Amino acid sequence: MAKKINVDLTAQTVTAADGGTVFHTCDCVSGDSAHPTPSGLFKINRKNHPYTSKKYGVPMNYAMFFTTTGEALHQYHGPAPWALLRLGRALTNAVGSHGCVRLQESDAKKLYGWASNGTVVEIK
Amino acid sequence: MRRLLRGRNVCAIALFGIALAGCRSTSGAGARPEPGTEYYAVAPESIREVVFSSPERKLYAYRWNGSATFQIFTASPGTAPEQCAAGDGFGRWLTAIATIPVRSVADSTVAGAWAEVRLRDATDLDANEATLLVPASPSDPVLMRVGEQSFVVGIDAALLRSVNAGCAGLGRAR
Repeated sequence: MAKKINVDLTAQTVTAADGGTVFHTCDCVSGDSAHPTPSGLFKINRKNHPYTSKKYGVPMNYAMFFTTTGEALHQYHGPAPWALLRLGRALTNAVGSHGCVRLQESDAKKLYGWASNGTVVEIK
Repeated sequence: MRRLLRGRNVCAIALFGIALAGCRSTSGAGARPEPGTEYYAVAPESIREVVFSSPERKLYAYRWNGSATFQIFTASPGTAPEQCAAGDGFGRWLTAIATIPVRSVADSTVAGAWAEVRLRDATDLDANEATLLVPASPSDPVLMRVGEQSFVVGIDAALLRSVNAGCAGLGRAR
């Protein structure tokens, strides 16, 4: 069975499954209204850990890139606590990333170890 | 209604800003490679440019698209520089260095022929880079250095060393 990561932009959740068997489900925070996370079918094309974005000068550890323009699932490193980030996102989509799918460290680490290049990422 | 929504957004952003001001960053800039994970993994078909530089071998290879054959330029001390089209040997060598699985932390005082590897792929991202110790013997483990720390990595030592054959081992058979 093929591994697949589903990103639900409405619920702000990520579900990783191998065929019909769910491996992991977790919360996420996607792109903000000015930088929405692209929807569609993608494949992980590159993995890096640790990783620092030279474009934004910020860490993106456990990065699993699914576009050629830098969008990835990766660990959240921001200053605000995760719960506060999630609360902010629930209140307004002005809160979010620059297109990436942010995850808590434990979730990012778990997915990074499970997914490989070629793993399908469906975002809707 | 629209005014209400706008007011809610402003409040949320203000609340968020106040919270941020009181928080410390959880920066991950100092993170190290972790045994059991890949330091990097890039699909070989997406690689466009390769630079390998060790005391024993210099190599530059490029192709303009994923279906094209790599063109190789390489040199070693005391021999004439070579140029060739990539063959199966290069493909095996490239596949070996396209993914770096980190196995364990190693003795950080290891000395030897460290090589710089740079793989630029078809993305807009910066190149994948690694510093690898090419072992003197194919039975020795390949090490990777990141900062002051070294790691045993899951790269086949014999395949990594095959770069030293130059075009005779990496080029297309004539």
